[in-house]
Amino acid sequence: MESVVFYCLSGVSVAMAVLVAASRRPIYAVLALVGCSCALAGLYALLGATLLAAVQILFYAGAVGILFLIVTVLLDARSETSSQMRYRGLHWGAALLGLILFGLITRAVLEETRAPSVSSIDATRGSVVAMGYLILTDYPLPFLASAVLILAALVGATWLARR
Amino acid sequence: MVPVQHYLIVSALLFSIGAAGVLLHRNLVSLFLCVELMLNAVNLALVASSRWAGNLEGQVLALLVIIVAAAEAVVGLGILIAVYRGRGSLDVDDQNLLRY
Repeated sequence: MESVVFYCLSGVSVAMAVLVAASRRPIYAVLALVGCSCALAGLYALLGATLLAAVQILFYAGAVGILFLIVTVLLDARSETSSQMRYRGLHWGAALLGLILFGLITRAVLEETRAPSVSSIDATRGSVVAMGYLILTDYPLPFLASAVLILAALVGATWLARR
Repeated sequence: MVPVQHYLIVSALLFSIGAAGVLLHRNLVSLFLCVELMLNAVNLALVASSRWAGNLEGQVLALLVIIVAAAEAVVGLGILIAVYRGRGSLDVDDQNLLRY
């Protein structure tokens, strides 16, 4: 059962990723990214990371997706036409480089994870309580730094978009 | 139970697709979307490794990556708006202010 769900979700996410990378019109790419984020949230939930699944849907499918959608509509980002034609072999080059990268990463992954996994799924339940406890006891500094980062991003974006 | 390697291979696939998209696209919005896709792939790898190692540290790191990605999206889209106002185009071939 778990493997069926896994293969369905990963198939959806890879198909949506191909749509993101291949679609000429940015608006379709944005919608495909939202779909890919939802499938990835399902994968997180399957891995036991429930908090991350919720955050993924809230942030990526919700906030970032809507933000991209609004900016795409605002900027009238037309489909790529003229400059796309200048590079005839670009599709094949990009696909070839992507394949090489995939081969290298897969080889490294299979070599590094040769040892059997020690964990049970219960030890890595990323519930809100467990994650919150870990963040506030062991990693308070990155947490506070991310708060400052968000504030800086807020001020910076406001400054960039004024005028 | 699905082995963790399969999650990591899906993550590698998503990352490669995102990298190929970055190479392929000429439009800044599409390019930026592919970068977001690569960040998502890295997050999947982090969560899968977290389960493989048997602790929650990878999930905390993935949460921080999501926060940084959100901040990056906000600032990046602000820069896109500024570029569009200044140059009137979002094509990367038209952006040559730093070239000379």
